[in-house]
Formats: sequence, structure tokens, C-alpha cells
Amino acid sequence: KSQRTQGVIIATMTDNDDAKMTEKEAGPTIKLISRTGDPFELPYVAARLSQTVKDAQPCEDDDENESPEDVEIVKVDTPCLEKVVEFLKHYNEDALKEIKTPLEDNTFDGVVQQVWYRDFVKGVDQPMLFDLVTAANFMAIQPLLDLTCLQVSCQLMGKSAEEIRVILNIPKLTADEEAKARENHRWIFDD
Amino acid sequence: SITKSQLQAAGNKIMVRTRNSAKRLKSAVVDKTLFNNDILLSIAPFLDCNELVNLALTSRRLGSKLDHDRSLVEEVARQMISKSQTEEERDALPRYGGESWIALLHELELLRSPLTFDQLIGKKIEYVNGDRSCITTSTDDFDIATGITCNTAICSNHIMRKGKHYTTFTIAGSDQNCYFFGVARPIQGWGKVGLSQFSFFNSAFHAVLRSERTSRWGESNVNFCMYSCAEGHCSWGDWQTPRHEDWSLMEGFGIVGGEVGMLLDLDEGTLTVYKDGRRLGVMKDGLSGEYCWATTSALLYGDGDEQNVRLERGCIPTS
Repeated sequence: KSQRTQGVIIATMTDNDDAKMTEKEAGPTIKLISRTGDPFELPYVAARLSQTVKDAQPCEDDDENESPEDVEIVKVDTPCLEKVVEFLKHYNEDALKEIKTPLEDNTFDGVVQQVWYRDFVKGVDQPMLFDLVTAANFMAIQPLLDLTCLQVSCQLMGKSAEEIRVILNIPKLTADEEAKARENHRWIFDD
Repeated sequence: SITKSQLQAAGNKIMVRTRNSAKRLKSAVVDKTLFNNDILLSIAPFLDCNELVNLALTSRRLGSKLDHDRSLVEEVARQMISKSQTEEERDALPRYGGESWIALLHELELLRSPLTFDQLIGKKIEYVNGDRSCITTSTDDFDIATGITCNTAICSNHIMRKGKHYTTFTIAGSDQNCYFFGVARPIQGWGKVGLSQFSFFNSAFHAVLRSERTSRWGESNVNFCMYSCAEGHCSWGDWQTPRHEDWSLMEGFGIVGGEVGMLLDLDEGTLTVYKDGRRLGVMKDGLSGEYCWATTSALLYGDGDEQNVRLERGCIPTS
């Protein structure tokens, strides 16, 4: 029993050493701090997908940023930043395949084949989706911006102006405003 | 003590306030996101022009003129064109004064897309297996006096306004070759009328065709110009006086099919013909203004019904 116990202790110690080695190999970490002051820690190699985070570092050459500086993401709330960090960590493990235009398929699932990214976008409500678009734009995370903008676009595809207003909760135009807008784009209504 | 009805009324008020505040939050989030030039520029590439216009029609903030005398959606369309347009595309699509940027983006999309016959005019002309770039005709609706059936197909949504454009018309099928290929002024809405015996040569239609004139036709009197596949003649006119002429390098295909290539050069004002990849020469000059590709079949009763024509955009030939 004591030999077995010692074996477990040795195995545990070995596992911990391996974990420490993996952490060391993962490189330095960085904290991204939300608008309300909540920090989220992640490997710098994942965080630097954000051009804003990268630009906030003292050295232009990433190899010299051994102790990256924490960055305050002043325009992003905690729940949204949490989702952004989740994206950044996963992207570091399994990058999103580039979304090319013109689209080869007019459905979201047809364009985005990677299940994790499909679930990531579909698992959020509309306010969060739009918050993610804004956050991706502010933090200059191109893959996240492409992914979230694609989802927004898919919601608008094939919809009339009235249907888009309902989806986005936009107030109606007056009759005069609508007539003028249609006059400006008359070519599209000609058969 | 509070009554049950008072409690219910209070509960209803809270629900309405909650719904309204949720709506306000949703509006605020959409406001912050969608009414932002950078974000709209990221969303726009995934939408086609029809969808962009519908977006512009949703609200004043998206669709009404702001800075630069352009709406937000118009400005996004302008930036999309500027970022992606090649030099050749810029030469082929100069913007008309006052033209909407979304309309121009629509034209750019068409320039990049496969050519299709958008209008089929006649009683016996149809797509082959639903393929809009391939048509077939038959002799069922023939004119008793002449024994001829005329049907016409036009690429009316692919309007050429400047620069060089090359296309091929490939004839497949049997024993007779009664097709004319070339260009004509863009006309709209004719495909729905179900006209019998329509062709650009038929003087019965000339007055109405002239009434379709717009300022974009320009000053040239070449309103249509077509190559007769069988014998190689040039048929052209201003829809007053049709002309059927020989030209110096003309060659026909006889009774068999083949590939007719046509190069419209709106900088030089010429229409050049290629026969099975070999350049014959300039069939006509003096063209200017807008044109679209067109084909007419003039089948004689008793001709084989097995012919079809495929249209395809091609690269500008180097010789």
C-alpha cells in the first residue's frame, strides 16, 4: 500500500512538473481588464490576436515582450469581454478558417464548418452578438469581427426592409421618408 | 391591504416596463453597432446590393444623406467599390453623374458574375434545363407569309458602358444555322410581353424601340449591330433604316455550328468578330453609349429544332 501511495505521489509530482513545463512553454500571460475593472487572464500568444492589445505593448517585436503589460479594455463590459477571451483562447488552439467573399454559401452553417465557432455565435442572444461585433471592432480582432458580422448578415439576408426593422427593432420611416428612399434606389424596383 | 387586482395591475406595469427597457437596450446596442461606418463596412461584403438597399430603407440614419452628401449605406458602397475595383473594372464602369453608389456596386457585381440571358422575347424560346446562359428555340410560331420564326434573347442586366468586353456564343446542334449575334441598346420589360416574331430587324417594332431611348444611348446611330452566323453579314441600324451589309473580312459558318467570339471595344467604338477563336476583323465601327449582348434566331419552318446557344464571358483576346 505504501509503495502504491508513493507511486501515486511520484506520479502526481511528475504530472505537476509536466503542467509547469507546459505553462512555461505556453509563454507569458496577460490580463485584459473590462470597463468595470474585472480582469481576465490568458496567454499573451492568444491575446495578441487583438491588434489593440498588441499595440499597447512596449515593444513592437513580440519576442521581446516577456512580461506583457495588462491592458484595460475600456469600451467592453465584463460579460462581453469574457466571451472575447473565450474566443481568443480557443482561436489559439484551433484557428478559425478564413471567411472569404463572395460567400460560397448563403447560410451560416454552410460558410462556418467548425462546430465550436458555430456554437460560440449561436449561443449568444442578439444584444450580446452586437456587443461582440463592437468589441471585435474596438479590439481589432479580425476573425471575431468576420464571424460575428457574418452572423449579423445572415440574419438580414433575403429580408425586406420591414423584416429587418423588426429583427433590429428599428423605428419605421414615415411615408414621405420611405417614398424618398425608394426614389433614390428606384433601379432595384424596376422589373 | 392591496387587492388582487391592484397587484395584477402593478405586475403588468412592471412587465411592460421590462419589455420596453429590453427594447430600448436592444435599440441602443443596435444603434451603437450598426450605425457605425467601420462595422457596416465589415457587414456589407456579406450582403448583395438588394440587401444593402433594404438596409438603407430601414432607417433615416442608414439611408439618408449625411456627410459628403451620402447616406451611411451609400458611403459604405463607395468604399467597397474603391477597395476592390480593379483598373479594368474602373475603366469599364465609369460612374454617371448622380448615379447611386449602391447602383454602381450592383453593376460591378454583374460585371463579375457569369453572363445570362435575362430577357427571352418570343413565343418559342426557352432556357435549356433552367440554365440562363443557354437557350433553345423552335419553329412552332412561324409567320405564315415568310415561314420564319423569330425569337430573341438579351443580356439586359449586363449593360456595357465603356471599355472592352468579350463574349462567346457557342452553337450546338444540327443541320441549320440561323442565328444572329451582337449588341443592342438595353431595353427592359420586353420579356414579359410574349411578343411574336420579335427581332431588332423587324420594322414593326422600330418606333417602340426608338421610344425606349435614354441619354445613356449617346449620339451614335448604331442602336443594334449583329453578325449573321450563316453567311457573315453585318446587320445594323438606328431603328429607322435597317442595313444588311457585307464587310471586308466577313466569313460565315455555313450550316454548321461553332463558336462566335465578339469583342466590343467602347473606347475605339468597334465590334470585332472571331470565328472558332480566330480573329476575322472589325465588323463595325461608330458604336458608343450603352449596349448589351443579344442573339436572334430566325428559323425557317422545317429547320431542325435541335439547336441551342450558350453564352459565356471570356478574357479579352490579345490579338
